[in-house]
Amino acid sequence: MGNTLDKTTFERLFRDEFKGLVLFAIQYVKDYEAAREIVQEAFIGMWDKRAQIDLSRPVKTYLSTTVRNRSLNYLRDNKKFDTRLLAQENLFPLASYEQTDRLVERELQDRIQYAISELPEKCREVFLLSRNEHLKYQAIADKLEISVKTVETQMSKALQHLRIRLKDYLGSGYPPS
Amino acid sequence: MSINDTYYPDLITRYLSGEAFPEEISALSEWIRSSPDHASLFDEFRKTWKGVAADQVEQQVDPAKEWELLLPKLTGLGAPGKERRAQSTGQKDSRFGIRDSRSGIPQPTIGNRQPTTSREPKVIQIESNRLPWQVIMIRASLIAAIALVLLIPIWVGYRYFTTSEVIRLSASNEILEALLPDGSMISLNAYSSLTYTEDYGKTNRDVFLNGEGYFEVNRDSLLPFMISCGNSRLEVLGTSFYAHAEQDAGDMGVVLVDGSVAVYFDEARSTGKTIIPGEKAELIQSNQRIIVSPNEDPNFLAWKTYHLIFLDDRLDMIIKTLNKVYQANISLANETLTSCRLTASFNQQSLESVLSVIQVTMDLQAETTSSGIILYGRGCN
Repeated sequence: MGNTLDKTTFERLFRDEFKGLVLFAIQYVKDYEAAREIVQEAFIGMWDKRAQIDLSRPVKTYLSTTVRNRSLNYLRDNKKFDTRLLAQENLFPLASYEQTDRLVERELQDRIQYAISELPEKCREVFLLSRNEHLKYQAIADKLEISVKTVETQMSKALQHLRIRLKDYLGSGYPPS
Repeated sequence: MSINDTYYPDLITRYLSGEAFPEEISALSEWIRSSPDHASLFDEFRKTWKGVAADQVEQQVDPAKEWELLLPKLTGLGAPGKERRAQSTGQKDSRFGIRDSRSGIPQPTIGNRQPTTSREPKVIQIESNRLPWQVIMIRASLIAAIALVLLIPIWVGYRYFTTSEVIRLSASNEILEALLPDGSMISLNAYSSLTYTEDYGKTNRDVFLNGEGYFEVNRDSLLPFMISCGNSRLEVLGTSFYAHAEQDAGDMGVVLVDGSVAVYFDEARSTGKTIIPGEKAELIQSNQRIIVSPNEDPNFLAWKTYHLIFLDDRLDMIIKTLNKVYQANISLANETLTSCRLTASFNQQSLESVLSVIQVTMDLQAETTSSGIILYGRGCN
């Protein structure tokens, strides 16, 4: 009987993997709330089916498969499913969750924060509302009483700036410029 | 960059923020593919965005809080008073693996194979036998030899046929992997067989296939590799492909992975067709037709690789694929379920694991009966 998933193991698994899986799902769905929900649902599903889960196989594989498939279904249902684009993002057909489960290093965190602080005030405000409050462009526009087009331009400017500032810290794969 | 300098950076940012419309996503995808520079710009944006998202998840997501939110949704764990009872039923269920305990029938292990446990190639069974036509030939040759003692060619023919032993590889209920004398690799799916003579690799590379297999044929421009089935012929010099053949009907099909393959009937090589990688050909004996088309089934090799890809596929088609790949007998309880569609990919997972993902995604229940697995559910719209 020791082979069935018990509450303690399940809780530990949840606490260890939740962040990594949310980030994994975000890469697909590009929406924080949707990603959170997908991961929550994946854990609920896993708990409901715990008796069927073969614990001799890595549970992380089960979880990442479920999260990936739910994410793909989300994209499909929202008509945002483009296999070639996902392939370009290394998310299709088989993305590896292992690669993403180590989150950001301390140094990179500092670099990101610093680069954000360098943004012009209006630009930073827009960017942080999107990133920290997870607001949609329309909601940001309403809140700041600006046009959606301005939100779009500011977001793109912010990302351009970060791209240049973080270039050396975001892993290999960048072509030399 | 066309239109203006900020058009695509804006679009990329909108895509990464989840703000792009479906048409814009296709346009972006198109643009990225049109030039390596576009692809690397997109990649830089994507990595930056991912770094920012990772930072944000790291800083803001609180697993302890998320756990509190999850707890009430877990059956049997939400209310403290219920916990004990639920755990004991949980234990009872654990052997049977059916969430709603529709029945107390123990669930046997699904499928005959576990992908990871039986990856190593099976021991090759070789049956050596002489076919009846050879016996007839021997007799005919003997009569001829007696009547026309001095006719050497027949004597040579007699020698040829009596010394050429037939070698038969046959897969039982598991995949059989074998190395042919010329170094070509074959994987035969369960219940398939391949026959060739001991001259294989010396004077010919002719084989007879019944069932299906995957072939990685070594290049030899002097000896073409040829699969026959009835009068259907498939000829290659060196390449990788999947082939299936039904000896009874003489029909044959091929999906080309790499290289090139010629298909034709009898000796009529000149009237045959050649296919390129990604295409498939079907040879239909009854009307001597060859149909060439793009291969649209991404799972044609799943019986060997256990890589499964479903792109908005109907549940009944998915079940059909799973039944073939895992040699299972899964069925749907009602017609309404056939309209359910799934997009998913699986890599070397057991049938239990694949099914449980499908069940969770589509909210289905499984019941195991003596004849197979039945899926129940409310259906999809």
